[in-house]
Amino acid sequence: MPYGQRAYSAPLDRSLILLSRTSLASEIFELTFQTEPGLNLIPGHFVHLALESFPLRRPLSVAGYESGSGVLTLIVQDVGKGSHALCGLEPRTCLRGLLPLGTPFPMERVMQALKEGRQVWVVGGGIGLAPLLFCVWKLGEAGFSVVNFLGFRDKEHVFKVREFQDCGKTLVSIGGFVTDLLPEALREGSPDLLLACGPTPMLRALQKICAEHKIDALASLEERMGCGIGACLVCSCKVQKRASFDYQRVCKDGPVFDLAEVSFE
Amino acid sequence: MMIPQAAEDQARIALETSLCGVRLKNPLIAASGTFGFGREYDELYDISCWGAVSVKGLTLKPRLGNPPSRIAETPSGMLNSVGLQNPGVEGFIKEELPWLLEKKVPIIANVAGFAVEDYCESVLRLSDTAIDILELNISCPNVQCGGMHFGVSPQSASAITGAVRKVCKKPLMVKLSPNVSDIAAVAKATEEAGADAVSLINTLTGMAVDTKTRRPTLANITGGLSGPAVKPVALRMVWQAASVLNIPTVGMGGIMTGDDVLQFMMVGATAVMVGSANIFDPMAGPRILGELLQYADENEGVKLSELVGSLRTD
Repeated sequence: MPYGQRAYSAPLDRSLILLSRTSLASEIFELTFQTEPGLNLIPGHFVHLALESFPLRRPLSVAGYESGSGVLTLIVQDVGKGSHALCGLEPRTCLRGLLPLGTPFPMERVMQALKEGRQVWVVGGGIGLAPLLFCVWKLGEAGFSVVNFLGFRDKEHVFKVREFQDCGKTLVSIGGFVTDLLPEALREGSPDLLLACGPTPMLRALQKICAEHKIDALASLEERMGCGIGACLVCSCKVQKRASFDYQRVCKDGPVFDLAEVSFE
Repeated sequence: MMIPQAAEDQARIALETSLCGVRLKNPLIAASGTFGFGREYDELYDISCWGAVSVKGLTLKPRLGNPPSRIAETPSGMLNSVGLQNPGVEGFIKEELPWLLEKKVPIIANVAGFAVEDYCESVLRLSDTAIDILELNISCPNVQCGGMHFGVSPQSASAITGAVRKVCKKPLMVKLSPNVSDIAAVAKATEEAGADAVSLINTLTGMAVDTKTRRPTLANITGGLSGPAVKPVALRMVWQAASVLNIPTVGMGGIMTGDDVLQFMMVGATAVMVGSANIFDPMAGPRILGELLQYADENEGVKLSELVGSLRTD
């Protein structure tokens, strides 16, 4: 399955005013920002956020966006110096963020599959649930339901399960591998499309399962980034193209890739 | 910036300069390696606002570059180890150059290589295109034999410059490495071998370590340091090189603001290149240009080109 759809919307460096900061779980914060209404933000898009006293911007998946009000939601894990600074910001702080960026999930294709009665599974682990949350929000809003498989490190790190449940049957793995939930579910039938985001070991295991069961899977990847717009070539990921491989840009060609083509080494 | 149109027009004239006979509407050049071929930044703003654009380093054959991770944040800067990922000279000529020519901005083709022969072949091919200036990259620290071995001694810099000079039909600018003990000697050697200009500094070789994993942050172990962290070193080297040269010097290294540009010009840079700033702030080009226009407006009558080498040391 060639994955080439590009939902185009010109990126711009915009103001983001922090409205609220909520602790969702251990290390996990939900930040909402006031930005412009009416942006063409699609699940899988990310924002490249400038933080004072950090040279490099931070790429963060959009976890939600209300087009009418212009309220943008990000979910951040307080793990590094940059994310720590971000999680410590006071409401009303104004940041600059370049958005929308990246090639998002092909939501029209996902909705078309669901309309035709096909099954879509959503598989996510930890902070990787952020872009998937936006996916199920959009799908639920359109009246569709999916099957969710959510993985969390431990019970202190569990967040947003209810929001996934609002969009269909939701299985949760705590402390184990979320992919261990799949074999049993697969005995009852395979999905036609799978959307994923999470740590590399999870994606690697998922890639193997999807190959065995011939499931089309799209995954949102993460990599350290420079410019965020595709010019500097630092956020490369290895993509298999027939006999050879190619480095593609996670920020521009991705972050959403056809999982079967990604090379995890 | 709020200056009236007539004053802005006046300020724009004050910014005009030229490099190797190529007219630049301002001294700002997008540095090679941070700007791709300009397409991505052109989605944000019209890239013809730059004085010139130096494209991603080109090699004779396409290159995939180094494995990721290729970037690390450092205090006031960054390390990169992209490793010259590029579509090759032919790929550039076919896929990128036609679009770039339509932008009507002077084009600098940055050429890297591994041996004298492939440098010469690339330069010969690019000489037959509509590019304006050829920038000979003898200073990429991220590829084994990525040219830096040519740039570390006056003798080898002279040899490669001389060989390329013979086949180059365009103005030839040599991009110098800061990883040397005597920058003035290397710069002078390239001038004597036929260079029309020099540009400096390329990145300083550096590294970063992740103590959690006990691994280098970059997969390539070492990378090139850039950003404001290197600016004092860059200024010193541009000053040392410009002091001994009769050809123009293009200065770069950590330029983030209009004031940084003025500093480089005062120590002797005819024009400047802006690299990492594009990564930190995608609107850096138009912003710095605005700051220079404001300077020209506030200092009516000054021409930026008259500031070149105007440093007072008495």
